[in-house]
Amino acid sequence: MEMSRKAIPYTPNTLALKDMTIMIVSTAGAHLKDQEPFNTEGDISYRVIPGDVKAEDFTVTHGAPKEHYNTDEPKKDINCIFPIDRLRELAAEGFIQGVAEKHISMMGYSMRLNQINTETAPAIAKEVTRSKADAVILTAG
Amino acid sequence: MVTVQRAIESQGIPTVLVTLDTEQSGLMRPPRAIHPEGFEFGHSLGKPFDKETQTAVVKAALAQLENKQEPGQIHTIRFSTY
Repeated sequence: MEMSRKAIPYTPNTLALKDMTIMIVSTAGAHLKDQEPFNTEGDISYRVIPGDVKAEDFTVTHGAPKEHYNTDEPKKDINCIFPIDRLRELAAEGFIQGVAEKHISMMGYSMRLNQINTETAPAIAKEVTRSKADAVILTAG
Repeated sequence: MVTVQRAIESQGIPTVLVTLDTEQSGLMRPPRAIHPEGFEFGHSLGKPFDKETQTAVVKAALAQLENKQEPGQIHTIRFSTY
């Protein structure tokens, strides 16, 4: 479907947060240490992050200049940009129902916008609809 | 980022974006978004190990899912613990 900038896709939410399972989709360049790093010259691929991942299993690869996005910070604590532990705590306290069984991560700062529009974004949307997530929180760097 | 958000939203899944780049995100008109005021790239949800701020930002973002929206708006929120 061709999306215009004027028409904003908007899905009303009828559920209460306490009944919702939440997924993270991030463009901050987070990935697992044993996953292939993003190509800092520009990368339109994405990584699937398993739901049971530990915060210390992450690292960050991102092409933005360091003075703009200092990846040393999220390497210390991935929750700076990919709030996996915070969501788990909110699920444990009943603020939300649960955390999705997988999450999606990509690297922003790619200039290949046409390919992102036509390939990456629809593929990610498909991953989300196939999951049991009720809603998505999107984070950037 | 908003491109991905719009693709997900058009498949019938509600989304909320946490953005520091209000200029770029604003142009792209996100369905639901918050902007934590004054945060730096690298810790858009709060500094390393600042659990209190990170939790507050995530809660504020998720709360937008329960609020009826005027799509295209970015809600700027100040977090005093940052």
